[in-house]
Amino acid sequence: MPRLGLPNLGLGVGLRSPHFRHVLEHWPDVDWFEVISENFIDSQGRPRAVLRRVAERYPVVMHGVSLSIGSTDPLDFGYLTRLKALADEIKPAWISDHLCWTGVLGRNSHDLLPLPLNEESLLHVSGRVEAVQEFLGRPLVLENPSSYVTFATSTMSEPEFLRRLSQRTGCGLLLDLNNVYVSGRNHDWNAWDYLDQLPADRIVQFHLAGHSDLGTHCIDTHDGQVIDDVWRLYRSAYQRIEGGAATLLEWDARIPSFEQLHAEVLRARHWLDANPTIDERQPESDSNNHITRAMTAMSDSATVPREQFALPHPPWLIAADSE
Amino acid sequence: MRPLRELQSELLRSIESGGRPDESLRSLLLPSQRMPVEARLAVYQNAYRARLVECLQSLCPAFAAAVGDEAFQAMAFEYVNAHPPDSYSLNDLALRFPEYLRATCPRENGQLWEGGLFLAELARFELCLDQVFDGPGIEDREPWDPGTIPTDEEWLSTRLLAAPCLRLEAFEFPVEPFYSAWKCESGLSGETPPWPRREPTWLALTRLEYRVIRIPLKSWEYRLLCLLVAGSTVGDALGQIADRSVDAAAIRACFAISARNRFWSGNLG
Repeated sequence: MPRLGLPNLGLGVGLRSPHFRHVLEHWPDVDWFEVISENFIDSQGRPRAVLRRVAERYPVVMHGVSLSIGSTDPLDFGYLTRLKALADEIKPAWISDHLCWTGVLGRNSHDLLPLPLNEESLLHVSGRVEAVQEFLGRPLVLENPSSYVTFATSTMSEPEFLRRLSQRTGCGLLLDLNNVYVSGRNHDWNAWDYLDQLPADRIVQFHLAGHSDLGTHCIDTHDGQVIDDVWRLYRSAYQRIEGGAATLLEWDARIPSFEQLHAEVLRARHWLDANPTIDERQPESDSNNHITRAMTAMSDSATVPREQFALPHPPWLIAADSE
Repeated sequence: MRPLRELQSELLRSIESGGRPDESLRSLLLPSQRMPVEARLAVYQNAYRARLVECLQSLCPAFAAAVGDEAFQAMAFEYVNAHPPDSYSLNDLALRFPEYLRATCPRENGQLWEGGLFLAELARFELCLDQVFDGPGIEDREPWDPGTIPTDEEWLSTRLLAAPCLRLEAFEFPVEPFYSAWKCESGLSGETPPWPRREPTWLALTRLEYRVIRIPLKSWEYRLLCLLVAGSTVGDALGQIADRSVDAAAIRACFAISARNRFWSGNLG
């Protein structure tokens, strides 16, 4: 059964605090919203109130960044209890997080750190996914992260790891095409081969986002438009799934107006409707689009260190608002 | 093969410390065609610092403006080094910041530097704002009607129940006026107001319709409200704050402000 039997929700966007007012005033014609779970699970103020109202009108998916499914610290059942309470309240279509670890020894890096991809990690993560799924009473959906290092002890590719994890645990997959592209560039592997190795029937959702191309590597900055090569990967991945899958645009830094955000995800229709006019298997060379983006990044970052400008996974935070 | 826990511990330590990885860690990582191991690891090291500094800046924007970008970056990173995040929520990042600033306040002529104490108080003020913003509130409750207590005698024996979002705070510096001026001036001229001199101030913070409300208090108002929040009857609280400069009209005005801003969610009779 495709998508674990879960629905294709259509084209959605991430719900971010700069757009709260616009959404509540205009109720835009967007198919669905994804929310960062950690922005809401402890909230007893406006963020949670906004989410309650949004969830009354739109399908919502909860996307987490702190489950730390790959950590060797014990699972945080306090966190999971709050996650479950929020899910009971807003009834998300599913709950997702990342194939990563965020901390160890009781500390938290607030980054999505990669795992060595080997039998030890697979066994470790599988046990934790099963425990989380049992606690939440639903399948977990896990996303491929963007990454910047690889390990000498890895013995399998990321798609193979995800495929075997999904087979063992029944978890779903959230395929982030931008992360596939970014990690492919960073680790010298072919993004198209990655798609070939994934079990398409386990893919529940897609992520799309912009990134920063720094020449020697790419950083998953979520701060701009989706590049054409990522759209091509998306089209191919989408067409491999019977009925497609829910698609979500992430934009977390230099956030544009809601209209611009929505317009960006609606470009998916164009890409899905258009017939491929170029060889889909040749997206790896830098296009003019990359050059433009790299030059823009260099220009914009002239006064700040480049790494500071290109911050992977911008912090997800809703700061206070006072009169 | 290095056990996963050992690898994670070593990698996290390297990310936190930011230095060149030792041989042990380097041997666990692979280079790419275009980047050596050290440069690849530096992506995480730089991101760790930048993300947490950016987050702290979002939580304490007036503080960051008061010290300036360069000093803020340095102070924020020293704080993060001293108190690495241990919560799944970035909102908890600033919890120990005021206490850290006070503990590390430099001395000047044998005294704690006044500027440092102001900054610690400003950070505490912004932490209060954040906690009231996203803490428990009264938006889903029916407003309490003080008119349900008809006579003065009944008023004097009444114990009031504070709204869960009410915070009463005493500061050593006029942090609220500084914050208000910063909010106003940063939007107009982009300038940060001058740091104030030491002067005690009192403040009520609460939340109405999900917006944080800041109400400056006089000393006696603060003491009166603290007594009421602690469970004193109205009569006992008024007796304890006995102050000849406070007349009945001022007390009525104080109660009117507290009622208008829904400081109270009920009474215990």
